[in-house]
Amino acid sequence: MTLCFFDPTEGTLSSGLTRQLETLDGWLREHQLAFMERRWREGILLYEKVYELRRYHLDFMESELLPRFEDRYPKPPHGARPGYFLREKKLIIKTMRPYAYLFGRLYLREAMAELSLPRLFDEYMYLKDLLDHHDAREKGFLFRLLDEALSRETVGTLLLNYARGVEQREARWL
Amino acid sequence: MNDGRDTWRRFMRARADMLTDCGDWRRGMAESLRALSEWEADGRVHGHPGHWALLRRTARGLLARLDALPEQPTPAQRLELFEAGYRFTRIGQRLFP
Repeated sequence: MTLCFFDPTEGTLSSGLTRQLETLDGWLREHQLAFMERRWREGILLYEKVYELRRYHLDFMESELLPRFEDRYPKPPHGARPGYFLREKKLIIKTMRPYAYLFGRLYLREAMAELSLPRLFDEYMYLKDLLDHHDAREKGFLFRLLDEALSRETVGTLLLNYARGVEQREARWL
Repeated sequence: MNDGRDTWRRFMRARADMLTDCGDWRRGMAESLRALSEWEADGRVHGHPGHWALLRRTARGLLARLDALPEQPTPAQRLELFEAGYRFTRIGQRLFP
């Protein structure tokens, strides 16, 4: 199993990480489809993966990408202030975390039928907007400008480190 | 007085049933959307006329999407229509509190 959806030995931050995020969006949709068909276990697992990989991605953004971005762009373009990225990181985790706990609790009680899918999916509309908004900021500013400012070698090392971090997280789902 | 709330509730129920493909959701949605797309609020019903116009317009759009679905829509197509109806539910909840 691999949860890294790009080849870290080639490409750019823009192409690699965009692909990673788009795959996670697809999995969120697969999680919804699984719940619609009452494939609860599969749906929960998909959500857990999306949540964990999103968290990982956001941590990587904060620890690896933003410091380099701040260093290269001390006066960032309008809309690319590091504070915006960090604020959105907090919001995304705060929005996603409760569902991960809720699904686990309901499943253990064999009470998944108590879940109101219309309400859940309407709540997801906010989450999806938030993710779209954040991803657009990353693709439009962070990935693109870092690709322009960093050497190919540095970009390659970043992608490789990202992929290694994902690998370490894969163990929990094996 | 029919203030549209029954029709609104019928739409919301059908939209929920669509997710799990339960009952005759398609008919429920089509009939309620058709009624809401032609809804004329009289002076006793609250809400700005612009909101009612938006409700009618959005209902017509959803109705067109519903009509465009194949006879047996896939779960992904049902989910897509459910999400397309989100904005409509926000408008309706203001008008049918």
